[in-house]
Amino acid sequence: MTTAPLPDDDLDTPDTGGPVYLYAVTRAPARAPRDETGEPLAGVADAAVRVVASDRIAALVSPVDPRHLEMVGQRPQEAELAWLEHVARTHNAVVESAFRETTVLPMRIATVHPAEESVRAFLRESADAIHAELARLDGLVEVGVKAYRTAPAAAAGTDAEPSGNPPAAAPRPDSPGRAYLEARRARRRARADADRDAAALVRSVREAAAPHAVDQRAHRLQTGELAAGPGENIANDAWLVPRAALLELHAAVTVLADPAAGRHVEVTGPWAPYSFVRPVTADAG
Amino acid sequence: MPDELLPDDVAPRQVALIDLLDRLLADGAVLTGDLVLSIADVDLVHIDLRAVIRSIEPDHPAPW
Repeated sequence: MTTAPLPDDDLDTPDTGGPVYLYAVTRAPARAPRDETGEPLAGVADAAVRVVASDRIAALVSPVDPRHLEMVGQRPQEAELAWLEHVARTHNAVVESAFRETTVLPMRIATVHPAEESVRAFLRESADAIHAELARLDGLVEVGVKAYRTAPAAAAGTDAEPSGNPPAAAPRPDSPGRAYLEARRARRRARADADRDAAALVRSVREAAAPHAVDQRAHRLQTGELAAGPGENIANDAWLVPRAALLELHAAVTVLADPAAGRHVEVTGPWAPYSFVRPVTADAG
Repeated sequence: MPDELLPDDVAPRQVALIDLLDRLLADGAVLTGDLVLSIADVDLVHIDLRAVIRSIEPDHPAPW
């Protein structure tokens, strides 16, 4: 803080006059984010991130060639995913550079304005709504809490539990059909038990998290190739949490995990409040 | 483990892409300006990104 941050545009890099990618808005004055070497943070396609300010609001933007974004869908799939990952990670890096300092409203990925002047107009016209939303989110962070289930170690083997029915362990010689039915029933019971366990875990994780949070949002369960959890994802929640309650929430939910019994809990974050930002429009102000 | 949640530690961690996409592509969750565009339509881009994900994993209609 040896030099006073400029309340308006960062002058290190000139306004190109062209389209800009908009990452987030925060309160002015904000300095253009720097990387660890002190250079301006690189945004999408390595363009330097700059600050556009109006009405005590600062927007983080970088010049972008919209064709970079519009080309999506026209390249080999691996290239598409790599590009999407670049945009997503860059977006998050810029959002987090501001989030480390203060409250931010992250923009939706791939938000492009035709020019900085259009961003300034957006800030001007939505100023009241943006300030209200920033005030609402002050001191709050988003935490991800995911629950997974795996087959409990005991159920996977052939050992029958003392209290359980030995499934088809001793088929009665006079009734192979009956043995088959017994085994089928046992399997169905085991599945129902597992489903009940999973539902109970989800419920208890939510009950444990809720007292530490002010809001919750359930994201869709994670499946597919990108899902890399320890088992089947059974809850994928975002919680809006006062910063001071982070560790308490973490402790309250992770204590419910019991990997040997097939119960897993993962916590991610803290994130900027991506899942809780309400749309801000000129009309809302 | 709790150390991972300390705010100062946000930057160095590599977040999972799927967790990021949950947040960046979630319906209506992220702030939008309705003044955006004329050059690149945000919603078109948005939808295209979804299409990319879907086309990468044809067996999973909602893979993230």
